[in-house]
Amino acid sequence: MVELPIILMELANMLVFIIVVLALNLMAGYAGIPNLGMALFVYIGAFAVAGLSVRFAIILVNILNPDFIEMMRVTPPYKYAVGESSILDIILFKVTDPAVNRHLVPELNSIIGDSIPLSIMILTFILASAIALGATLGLIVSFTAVRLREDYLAIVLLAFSEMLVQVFFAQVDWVAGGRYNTWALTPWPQKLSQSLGNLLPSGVKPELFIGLIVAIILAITTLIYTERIANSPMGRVLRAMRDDDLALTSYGRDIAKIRLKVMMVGSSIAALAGVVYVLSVQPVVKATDYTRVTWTFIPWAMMILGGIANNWGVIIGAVIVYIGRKLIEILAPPAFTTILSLIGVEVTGATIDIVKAVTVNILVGVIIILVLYLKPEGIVPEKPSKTLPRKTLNSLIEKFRGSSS
Amino acid sequence: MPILSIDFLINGLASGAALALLCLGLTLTYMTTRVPNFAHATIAVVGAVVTLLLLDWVYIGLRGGAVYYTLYIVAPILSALIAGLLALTIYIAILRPLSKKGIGIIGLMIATFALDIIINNILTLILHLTPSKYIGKLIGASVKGYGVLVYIPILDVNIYLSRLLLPIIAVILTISLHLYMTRTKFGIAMRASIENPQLAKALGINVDLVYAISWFLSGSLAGLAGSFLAFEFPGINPAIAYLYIVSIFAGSILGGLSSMYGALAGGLVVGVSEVLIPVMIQNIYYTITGSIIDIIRYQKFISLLIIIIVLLVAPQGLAGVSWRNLLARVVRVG
Amino acid sequence: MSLLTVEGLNAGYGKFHILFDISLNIEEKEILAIVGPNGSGKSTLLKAITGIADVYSGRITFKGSDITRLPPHVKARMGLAYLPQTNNVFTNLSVWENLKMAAYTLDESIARDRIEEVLSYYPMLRSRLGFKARSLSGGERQILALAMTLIRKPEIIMLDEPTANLAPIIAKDLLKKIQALREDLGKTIILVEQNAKAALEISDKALLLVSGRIEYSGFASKLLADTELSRKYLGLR
Repeated sequence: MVELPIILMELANMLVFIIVVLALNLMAGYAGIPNLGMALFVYIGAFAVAGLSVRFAIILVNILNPDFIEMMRVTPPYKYAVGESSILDIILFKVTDPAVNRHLVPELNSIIGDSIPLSIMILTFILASAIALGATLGLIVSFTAVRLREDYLAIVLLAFSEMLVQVFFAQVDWVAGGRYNTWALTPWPQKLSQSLGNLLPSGVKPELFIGLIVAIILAITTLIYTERIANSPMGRVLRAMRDDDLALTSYGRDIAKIRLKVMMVGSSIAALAGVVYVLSVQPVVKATDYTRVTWTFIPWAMMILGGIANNWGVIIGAVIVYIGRKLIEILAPPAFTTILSLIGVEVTGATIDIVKAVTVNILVGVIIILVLYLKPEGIVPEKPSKTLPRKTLNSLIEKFRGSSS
Repeated sequence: MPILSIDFLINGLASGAALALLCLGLTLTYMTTRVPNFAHATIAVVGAVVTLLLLDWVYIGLRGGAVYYTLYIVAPILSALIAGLLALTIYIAILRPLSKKGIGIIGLMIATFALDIIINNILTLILHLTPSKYIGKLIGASVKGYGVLVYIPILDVNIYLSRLLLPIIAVILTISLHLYMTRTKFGIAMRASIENPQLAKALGINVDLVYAISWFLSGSLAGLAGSFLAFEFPGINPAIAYLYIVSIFAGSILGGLSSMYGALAGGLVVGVSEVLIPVMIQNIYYTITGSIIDIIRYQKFISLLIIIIVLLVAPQGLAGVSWRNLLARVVRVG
Repeated sequence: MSLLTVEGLNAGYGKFHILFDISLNIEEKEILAIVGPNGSGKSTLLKAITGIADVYSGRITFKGSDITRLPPHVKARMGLAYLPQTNNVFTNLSVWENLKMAAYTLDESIARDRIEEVLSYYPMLRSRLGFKARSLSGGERQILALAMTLIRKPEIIMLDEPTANLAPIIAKDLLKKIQALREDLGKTIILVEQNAKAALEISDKALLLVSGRIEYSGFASKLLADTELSRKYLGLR
């Protein structure tokens, strides 16, 4: 029997994908920006919760308790790693050192948990920095190619994402942990966790529950927001610009601006999804885990399957792909163990893990190509653009019907 | 410590030659069918895997023996053939039908993106499940490889034979491709179809065949470049393609994505820079400060920088620069 | 029997009906000028005959056989050559390579002879053989395009505004060369022209199209002399 905490965590994880897909749909579906660099924006949100906010937290804590960093130099286990480093050195370089980070984050978490103002400040910082980092990166990355054809934009986004996540963040150890794990802060007040802990069924961690709530709120907000953009005059401009190259050349400048704007909005939403992912699903952050397969390729498959430029469609696509992927991961190992032992290959845990991942990736890829071939508009096709919002239109129709009958 | 040693120059040249061939292939299919092929690096890895499997299969402890040297001819040809057929299949079985159904450029691009991941995962599976006879395992780093080191007395260096061969083969290929494109009727027809498919069709040129051949050529050039990689690295991790594709795009964008010669030049520049610039920086840093900085693992950043600079300064790439005007201006100033 | 006849032709592109009830005929070694204001459907008429535009109804016969629904390349093989207004040469290929491509479907020895023939007919091209078509002047490019057409020995040559974007003197010279195709080689020519006066001066017959309908069909000289029509639609005098 699958346990409740696992179900809740999977639910939170699925919501994260829904948020990512909604952001992707805003950029690729409505605005025609083929964002092949989604992984970067999700990762940058994760970085905001881990590497970045730890530094903010240690500064805050040091302000409240001026000896905090000083004490690190002499107390084990920190003193072995920190030694005689200066305060700036510690804040900049040592907090991500695994020997320090492993102990520092739980300690900071308990200090933050004890003080409600502190946890509010940390939470605000996390959200604000994720939005700011996402928007800034979205702007910088797309700036290079925003005036060029979509394929150039796709190449640039992919290049930035691979280079920054898989080379810069994954290799430069001090910025975000690099080759080592870093731990994320949990900015929830202890009192909240405790009172929740008494209410929740046993086994369900309060952090997971809060994370899930945040995920639900963010998913709904994102849906409402992207729906509003899609049905606004700007949404119509976006679609016009996506469908017509001529519009692009004749209004070149404005369209570059609109594209940049959409990139900033979409990237910050993706970054917030990264925050939620870390807060509810995976508190251990390592850049190499944020691969293009998980965070770019799978969201694209979800969007294409569900129906490009239809928010409800892409949500359905996300749910189908997510559940399908889980089912394969559960069902594949026993099936493959049988097959592999039949063909006489020695089956180890590592082999099964690889077979599992490979199966999922291949199937997701096949789905993309099949959908493009058989039903390019996806399960739920794009709605024709209406001049009036649907509600107004419906009420008008009602009125006419009422008056005629 | 000298700024550059001869073996680094040869390494740079080999890396440049490999990238030039890859950029040439990517640019070729972009010019004909207008699809940026995100699976191109993985197709190169297919070539590498074919060679690796072949080496592992026939290797009989005769490293350096006559049988072994013939593999330096057989393996690249076989790899090129298989990778070429794969690329051709991708075009005929997937991209062309999609394009005929009216799928636009973004859709086709995503299809290649998906194919990249599909093929890459199949390769991972093959390498994991194939037991290696001699080198422990075929995926990831293992201790000994199949490459032959050659001692060059004049330069007093040991160099992998594959690294010496690759630039030579790249030059031979470039010359023969140039002759093919300018001297044969079908080569000229290829150039004609690239420039003006409508007119070419009206004159009775089979443009579809030209497109198919460009995909085959593109795939075999990639397979060939990948094959030489397999001689150097004992175990191959197909995931390297995910980073390598960025270098291929960098070289092709630098080349302008609109000319075969631009692609060759762009690939050469990017490939050589990726090897030599970090080494040069490291050496300069060493002479100034006396300490060593480890920056070679960031070498791929050069590709990203090149993409950014080209797109901001001259989005048409090398092919778009009016060399005659530039030269005239330089001469006038000089 | 006329070489080419068009009867009751209705044509356009998809939903856009452009030509209404067009009829014309042309005899061997005649020059027919199709003139009229901008957007009157002159180019569409050529494209409908060639098979590029959509024919809704009507009949096109060539040497007595119905060719209305044949695809463009079959018509080309039968001897109907169509020369588009732009992109009619490969600019990145040399003059020689362009000619070679024009002879693509011919046997090697025939191709060589035909190329030799057009080179002696247009000696200017011989001095440019190695140059990229990109480096030719506008007039030279049109001559190259003409030469490429001649290689396949068509009976009817249909030209879509060959003198557009050319300087007046060069345009006049090109029209003379087009006229010479009939005199020297016995070709039949259909010419769509913006420059009505010059075109009518070298033509036998004329067709005046206005908004997709025939306004005048008959001798070219008569249309030139008709002050009212030529003032109203052709901007002459």
